[in-house]
Amino acid sequence: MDIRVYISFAIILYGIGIYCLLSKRNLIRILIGLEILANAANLNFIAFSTVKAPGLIDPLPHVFVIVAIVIHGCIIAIGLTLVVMIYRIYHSLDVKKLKRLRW
Amino acid sequence: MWDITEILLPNFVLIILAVITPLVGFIEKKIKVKGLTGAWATFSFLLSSLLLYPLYEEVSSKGEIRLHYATFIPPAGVEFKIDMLSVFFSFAFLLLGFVAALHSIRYMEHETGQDTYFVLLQLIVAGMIGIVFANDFFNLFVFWEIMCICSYSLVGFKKYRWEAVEAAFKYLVMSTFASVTMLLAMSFLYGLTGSLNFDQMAQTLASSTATSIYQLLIGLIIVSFGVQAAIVPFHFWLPDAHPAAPSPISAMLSGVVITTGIYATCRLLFVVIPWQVNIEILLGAVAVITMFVGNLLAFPQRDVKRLLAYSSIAHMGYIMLGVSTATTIGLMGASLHVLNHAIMKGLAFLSVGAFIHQAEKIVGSEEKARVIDNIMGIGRVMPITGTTFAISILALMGVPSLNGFVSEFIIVWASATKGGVFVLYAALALLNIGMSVAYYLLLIHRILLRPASEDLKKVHEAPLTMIISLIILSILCFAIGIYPRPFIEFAQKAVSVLVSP
Repeated sequence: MDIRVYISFAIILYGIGIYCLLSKRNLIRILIGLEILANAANLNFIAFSTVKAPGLIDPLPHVFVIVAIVIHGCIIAIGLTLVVMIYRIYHSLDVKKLKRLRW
Repeated sequence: MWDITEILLPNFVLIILAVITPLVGFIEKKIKVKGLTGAWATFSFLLSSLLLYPLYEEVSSKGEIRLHYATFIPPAGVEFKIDMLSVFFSFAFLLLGFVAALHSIRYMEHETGQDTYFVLLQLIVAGMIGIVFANDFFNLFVFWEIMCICSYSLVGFKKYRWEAVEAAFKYLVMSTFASVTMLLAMSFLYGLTGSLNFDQMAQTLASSTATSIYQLLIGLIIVSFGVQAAIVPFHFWLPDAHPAAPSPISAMLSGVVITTGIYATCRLLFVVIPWQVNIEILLGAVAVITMFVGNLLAFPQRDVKRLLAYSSIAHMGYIMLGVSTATTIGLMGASLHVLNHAIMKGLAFLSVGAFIHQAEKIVGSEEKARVIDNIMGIGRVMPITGTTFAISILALMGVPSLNGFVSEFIIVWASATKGGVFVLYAALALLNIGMSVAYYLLLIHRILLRPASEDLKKVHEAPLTMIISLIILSILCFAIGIYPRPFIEFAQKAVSVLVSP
């Protein structure tokens, strides 16, 4: 298939992720939005790794994407830990409640 | 394989020593010697700083060192490249890491989980050194995320307080958005060039002519590193995250972590992407807006750490103005200001940390001890810490004979001599420096000159280890201010990597 299909799909995914970050009020959904954004970038990497030379797939981006998946797993784990702590303090998962920090 | 001397890079040594830290914490609990973990962390920073010196010698004779696995040469493998700019930045990181660890020994004495704290502190410095040693996107991204993950955990370290977890969540969401945008920019650069290595990318990009994709890439890169560097439309996390962290961590975050964003922007814009697009004027405008926002919003602050955080935003604006001139002298001023800002902002935050540590029992809580009205006149009861605080604030203000003046003068001069719209930017930077004097003087007046209340008179001077860390930084403030020549030459050698003079 043409590489442009993959790149367009990755950019659409990126847009969906940004929409999710901006519109959702639930803390866990915001973290899911971050994961969607990460998947868009990873997909783009994999798509580009197939076009370097005909018949060749460059292994380095694949290694990079696997490392990136692990790293984003770590980030989401820390984010979920913070969500647990926020829930213990505020008894709510609504991001609108977190507005004591301003200025 | 790698030579044994090549494995002894400061970042690898720090990671190895960080693995041993929980064991030291375990021994500390068994033999009941207080502060053993902190002493170990301080020692590890000292050891890595000693390992930086042979690197400096070798880089000044050879120009650069390249390290990679024998069978995986760059198109297929990853690579470290150490040049003068890397050594310059790692010097600032290790210096501040050392004093922050020394200060933390007593600052964190009442907290649980000290071994976790010191592991994260060691890893954050290891991550930053890895960023400046990296010569491809693989290393850059991995070490960038090591640094970021440690920062999130340290901002939310006091997890039982609403402010810390809320600020850490905000920081996590914004900073992860930035690093994902960076990953997207990396994938496009990889697609254009077929390599992840900076040098090979630069060679391929120099001969291609796709200008519109460059504009997209430069936009993505400025967004992704601008969030970490708190460039203005993306600065919202900084004034929340920096005050919420423990004070030595605020010094690390405000002093050096945000400057890694500046480093990465410089490296990509000057080395990798050819400077075809005319973006100096845009970058300069962003820098001026950053200064205005930082300085104007610092005025209404009543929390002393928050005020210093806003002043960090303003100083990022000065550094960005130096970068945007794209001349040797401007970049030299910018990198010297990175070192100076690390020293003076570190000193300011560590002094405030000493005030908070001594006063929190008397004032009530740590949050109350951060409000300026509650600690008015504390500089009179703690004379040594008060003096170092005054030195740091005067240096931030840009008083001659202290280090802030030297680099701010170079940046403004470089901007003014570039001509065109940069003369206007230089004038606006001068206006900003003048404006910032107002709130700095007000801070000195409140903390040092007002008489202390009866309760505050019971506060004692800070413990010895804190005072040692403060005095090291104060001496450096004076040293760079009075005799800046060796540091200017060091910075000049560093930026000769980016632009040829």
